[in-house]
Amino acid sequence: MNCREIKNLLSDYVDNMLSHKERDIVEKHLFTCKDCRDEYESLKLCIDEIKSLERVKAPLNISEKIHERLESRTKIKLLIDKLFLPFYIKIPLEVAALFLIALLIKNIYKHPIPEIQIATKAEKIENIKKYPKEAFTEPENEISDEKTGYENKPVEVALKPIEKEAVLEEKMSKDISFEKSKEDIIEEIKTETPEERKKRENREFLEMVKKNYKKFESTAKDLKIKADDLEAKAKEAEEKAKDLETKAQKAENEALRINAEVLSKEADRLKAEIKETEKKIAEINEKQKKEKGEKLTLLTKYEELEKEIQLTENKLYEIAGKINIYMDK
Amino acid sequence: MNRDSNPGNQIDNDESLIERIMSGDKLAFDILVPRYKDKIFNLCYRFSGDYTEADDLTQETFIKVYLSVKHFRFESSFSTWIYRIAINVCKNRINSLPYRFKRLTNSLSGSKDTEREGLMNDVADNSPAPDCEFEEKERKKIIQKAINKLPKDQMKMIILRDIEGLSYEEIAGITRCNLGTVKSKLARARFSLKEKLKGLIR
Repeated sequence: MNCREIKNLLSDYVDNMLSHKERDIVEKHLFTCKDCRDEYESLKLCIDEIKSLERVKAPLNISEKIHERLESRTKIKLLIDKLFLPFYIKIPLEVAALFLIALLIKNIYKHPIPEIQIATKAEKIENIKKYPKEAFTEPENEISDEKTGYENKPVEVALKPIEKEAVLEEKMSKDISFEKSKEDIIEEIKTETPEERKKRENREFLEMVKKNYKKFESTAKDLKIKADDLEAKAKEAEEKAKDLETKAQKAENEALRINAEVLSKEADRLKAEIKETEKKIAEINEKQKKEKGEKLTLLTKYEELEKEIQLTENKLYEIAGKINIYMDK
Repeated sequence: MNRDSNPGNQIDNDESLIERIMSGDKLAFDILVPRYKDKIFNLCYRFSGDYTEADDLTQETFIKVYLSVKHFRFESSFSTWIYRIAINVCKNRINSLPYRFKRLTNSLSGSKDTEREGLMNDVADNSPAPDCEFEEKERKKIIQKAINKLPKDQMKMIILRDIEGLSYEEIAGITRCNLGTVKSKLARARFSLKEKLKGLIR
């Protein structure tokens, strides 16, 4: 191996990550090559230098800071959750709303034709009634009659051919149930007196009004039923929303309660631990006190014994003295 | 609650804590944070070379851990996972524009030369002086600066191996490289750091 290859292995060599064979080669090379030895020395120093960097400790309040940031995040998330309902509620609600609006629009445009028809028919009749007035200026009571709604008063006006035509046309368009052929109608109109004609017209008009009234009544009923239906649906939706709200509230309360429970349990456990340790400390203290007392009593006993020993010793000396005296004697 | 009532008594290894966090136990997270906060803080500090930055980076790391804990698959150890997250957070911060701007203004106000020259001047000016005159603090500052001047990939290797003291296998797990790559990257990183600190080490 040349120096370059050896230098590539030095990092692993420092960490003792080489195989036996490789390590032998590197060590032999380092023994002979000063250049590589210097390289190794400086690398080792550099690594030691990095390792000597002190370990910094996290600030003590870092846990609280993390909690604060997490809480602010969850608050924002809750707000968003409140503002925007989840899709599984939102989309059905939207679909229902769309459907209701569609129904409403459909109902509004369902029966516009009768009104218009009635209007045009009424106009036509009025025009025909007015026509003779314009042709022969009638006395005032005639006009008042018209206003009071075509009462059965004789009108002494002869119809002009154009008028007849108009009446005929009106009849044809006005009433489908009128099952007489055109010729018959013409015949009738020709033969009938103005009085009869007036009566017939009035009768027809009344029939028409009745019919239209019935139509109106039925459509009104329809509309009313539909409106009731819509109202009921709206109420249902509202109730559902309320239900969901209460459920959410309940779930939230439950979560809070559970949290509180866990915390209180933890607190209780800690309290119990504290009490236990306090008890233990008290016991130890008592034991120490007892031991002290025992020590004291032992010490006093020891002193007493020492005194006794002293006394007996003194006595012994006395006796020994006496013996000596006797011996001397 | 049918959850165990005395969480303090059971043996809390990281994986069981993770499982508890996944099931919504916030207390478990409070046990996990103190266990790793110093390691992560040290790593962030060495990455950024700035105390307040490290504080923020550590917070961000733990927030990421909490928010993405549901993605933890138990394929690697938790420590590997959290180191990986921390390194990602640090790298993203170093790449971010405000951070680069801050560093640029700092280096401009520090020395009027360009960054690299400034460092080399620091070292060159100080190198003739005898070792005993070196303020230990200054020395460490220069080493820290030299580490931060390394390319991010190399800086990562130096920090994980020589500062955090992790094994080659752990580093391979964190960086998702194989052992050979870790070895060669680390050798390169050490070599370029040694070149940067030539004046300091003699």
